[in-house]
Amino acid sequence: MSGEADVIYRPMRLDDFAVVHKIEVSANRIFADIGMDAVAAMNPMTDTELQAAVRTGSAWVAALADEPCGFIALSLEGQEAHIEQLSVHPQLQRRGMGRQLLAIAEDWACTRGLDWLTLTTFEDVAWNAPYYRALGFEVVPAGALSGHLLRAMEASKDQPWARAGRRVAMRRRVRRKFSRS
Amino acid sequence: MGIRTLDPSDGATLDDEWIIEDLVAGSDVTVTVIDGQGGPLALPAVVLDHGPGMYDAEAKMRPRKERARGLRPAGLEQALASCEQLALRMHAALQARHISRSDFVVQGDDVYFLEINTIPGLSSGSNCMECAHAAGLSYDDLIALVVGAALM
Repeated sequence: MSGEADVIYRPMRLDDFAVVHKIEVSANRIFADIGMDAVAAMNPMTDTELQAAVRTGSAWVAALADEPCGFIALSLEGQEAHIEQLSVHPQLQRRGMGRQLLAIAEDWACTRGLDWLTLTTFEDVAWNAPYYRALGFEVVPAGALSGHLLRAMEASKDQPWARAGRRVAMRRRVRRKFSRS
Repeated sequence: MGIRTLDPSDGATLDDEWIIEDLVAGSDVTVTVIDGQGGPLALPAVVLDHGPGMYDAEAKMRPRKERARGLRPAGLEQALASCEQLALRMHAALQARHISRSDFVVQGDDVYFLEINTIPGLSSGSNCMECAHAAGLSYDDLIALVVGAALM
């Protein structure tokens, strides 16, 4: 397993939400360093959104001493597992936790018989599209968008934070076996 | 030893000693749970289509072609999702490891938990394989999952 030895990965619990919110807010603040203040000021996922993921068993945390320091939350969209959010606390990034959380998400998608992992992100931010591209995600061309990815892209056009940069939709085919890193 | 259904209106009498329980008639559902890197994961719950009669030991031992097949009928999505969540909770509550399979009866909107099997059958004709099949997994995939869980 990649990541630090003391990090454990477990399903997200309802009592994790307060810390999970802080992680997302902290991770968003990094966008201020590259002039994307509207993104830095974004609200984190709501309790209702997190509850939906927890109830379907599609949210996990990376934790140190049981305290979350990163998380991933998915939603089920037809035959696709959509990554609603993947965040790691800024002080603990670049240690493989994001990659490991994605591997866990893929395990879940595999056991659910889903075909794709999908997400929307910023094309030109180093830790966004380039990061996912390095992990095997491909950009879905605008003309090929459909379903929830099309809706997500359309909905973001009305959001001030989304106008801070070019948004893209990405996807990676789910491997039909557990990922073992 | 044996099991039979008893209809009070048919005037049948019972000799010897019997344990009598209400019959929960409904869909027989099974859920396989396998440990993953982030905790236990549920394969899709399936309804066991085993034909008429009870799903008893005799039904389980029929030749493979006549055994129960796992289905996910339209209209039962919510109940099957409930079974999956309950199976995950049972797996965690009992601290089961690597793999377990929980059985339920779904009657209307009600879900009845029957039992959890912590050493479920893993043959290519097993009910675990019916769950794996519902996720598009091959038999090799299923075995790889179990071995992977044991090696974590």
